[in-house]
Amino acid sequence: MLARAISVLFALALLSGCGQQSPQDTIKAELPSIQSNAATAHLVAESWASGKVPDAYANNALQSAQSEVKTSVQKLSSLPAGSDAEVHRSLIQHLQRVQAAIEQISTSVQKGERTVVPAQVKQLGDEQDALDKIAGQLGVGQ
Amino acid sequence: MKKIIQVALGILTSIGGFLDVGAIATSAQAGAAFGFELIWALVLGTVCVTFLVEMSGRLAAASKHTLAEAVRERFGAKFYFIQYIVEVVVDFLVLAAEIGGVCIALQLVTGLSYRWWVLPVAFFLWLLLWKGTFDLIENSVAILGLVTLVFVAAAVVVKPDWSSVLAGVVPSVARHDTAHYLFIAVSIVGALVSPYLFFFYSSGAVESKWDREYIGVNRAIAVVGMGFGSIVSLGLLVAAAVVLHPRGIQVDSYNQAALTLVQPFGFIGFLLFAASLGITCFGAALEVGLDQAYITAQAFGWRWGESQKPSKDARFSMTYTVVIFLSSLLMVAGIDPLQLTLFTMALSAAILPIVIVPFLVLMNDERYVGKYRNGWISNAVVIFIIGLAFVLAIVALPLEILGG
Repeated sequence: MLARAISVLFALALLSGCGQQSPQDTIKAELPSIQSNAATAHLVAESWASGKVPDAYANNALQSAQSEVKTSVQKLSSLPAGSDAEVHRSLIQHLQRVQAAIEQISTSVQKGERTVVPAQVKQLGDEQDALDKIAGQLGVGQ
Repeated sequence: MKKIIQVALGILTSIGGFLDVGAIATSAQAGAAFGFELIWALVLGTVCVTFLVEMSGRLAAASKHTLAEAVRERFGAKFYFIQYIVEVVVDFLVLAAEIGGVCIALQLVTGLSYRWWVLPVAFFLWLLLWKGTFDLIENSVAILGLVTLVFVAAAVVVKPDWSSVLAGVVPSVARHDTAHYLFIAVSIVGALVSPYLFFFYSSGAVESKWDREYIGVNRAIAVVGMGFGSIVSLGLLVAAAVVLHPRGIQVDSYNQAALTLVQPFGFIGFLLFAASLGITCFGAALEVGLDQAYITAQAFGWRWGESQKPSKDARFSMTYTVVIFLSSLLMVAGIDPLQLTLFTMALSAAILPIVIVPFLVLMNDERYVGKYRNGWISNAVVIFIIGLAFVLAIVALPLEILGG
């Protein structure tokens, strides 16, 4: 009885793991990760600008966030637009802006440009707000 | 006076022993992803581990048997061999994750990739086991482990809504992402009720020559030590819930977890996070490395004891040498330490039944514990834990796939 229950659970888990995700499911899975990485980049850059974290850590954390966001954006860009092409296009545009903002911050931190970063952080914050709105429209909450 | 010092040291050791890479990773993840919602899992894990650690120590003090020896003798070699194999596999992965945790701490501070630190850390770990005695290792790790009290300080400084914290003690249904919620809950329990802790604790008690006079000391260490350790984990969860959760930061890497202390304490907070991670993982790695050697030596009837010179118990010393080397190779290969930690914690939950069921028999067998048998409360708790362990064992791996 127990063995059967375990087998069924495993089968269900494997099926859900191997099954084809719809574009909507992919967006729901990837968007929170992008939002999390953008928020991480925001907080790391803010902390770095006020001397709360070392350069090496800030570089590492920003590069990692940048790479994660890039991978997710590539994944979402390759999805078919589906029924609501306008929202999809808008989402990808916002994601690309978030990606660009993180890249700018990462470059500035690498160069040690402490005075430039606060303005870039503000810009990233604006992009995050816009992204959160679109995520809300798509029914993806954090 | 001597007993008071032993209790104090035991409590310190328990705080160090309670916290490890799993407790840090799962507490930070729980707070970041679900706010205060998963505090109940921490409380549940703490109650379970406190009872089981107390029983491991009572068994050792009353019978002068380690848990492994008692299981082998009472249940036979076949049963013990199965328990030994699953424990060795999980210990091996836990050890790799702990070494990874130390290396990540060094990466945070230096910026040099954790993979470069693996072999030096493994060598230093081995050297300390080779040259040190049980008391030296336990006491130094325990005292250094006090740095983790910074998590408690952080929880106070970030000023959480304490009524919401208290509400988190009551189990609740996930408000979103149910599979991930349950996976983290299982991982928290798996991280706290670490099987290695019981084998290690009873071996340490036998090595420290505990007898029946230590029954009270053991109880005090288990209750107060595990209680304090739990408060430290709770501190991290609360700080992560206040600092990371509102910003939507999920803890997918230790880079993100470090921010928990940066907000309340600035640069010092960053350094204290790295120190806490490094010290607790190093302490836990020493314990898991020793545990591998203890259970292997006890399985095959070899001479064992960390306080003896390696030449006196060559096979025991060779065991921890080999497992430290092999575990470090896993990290050199580039496996993500956080992902390995979470996977291992779920696996720990999955093997709990085979580790915990023997407690019910041993702690009621007068040939081992004499008049120090379990009372009805302890038996009721063990039966509850066994039930819980079976549920965790069934759901742990599917949840790993669905929500991990």
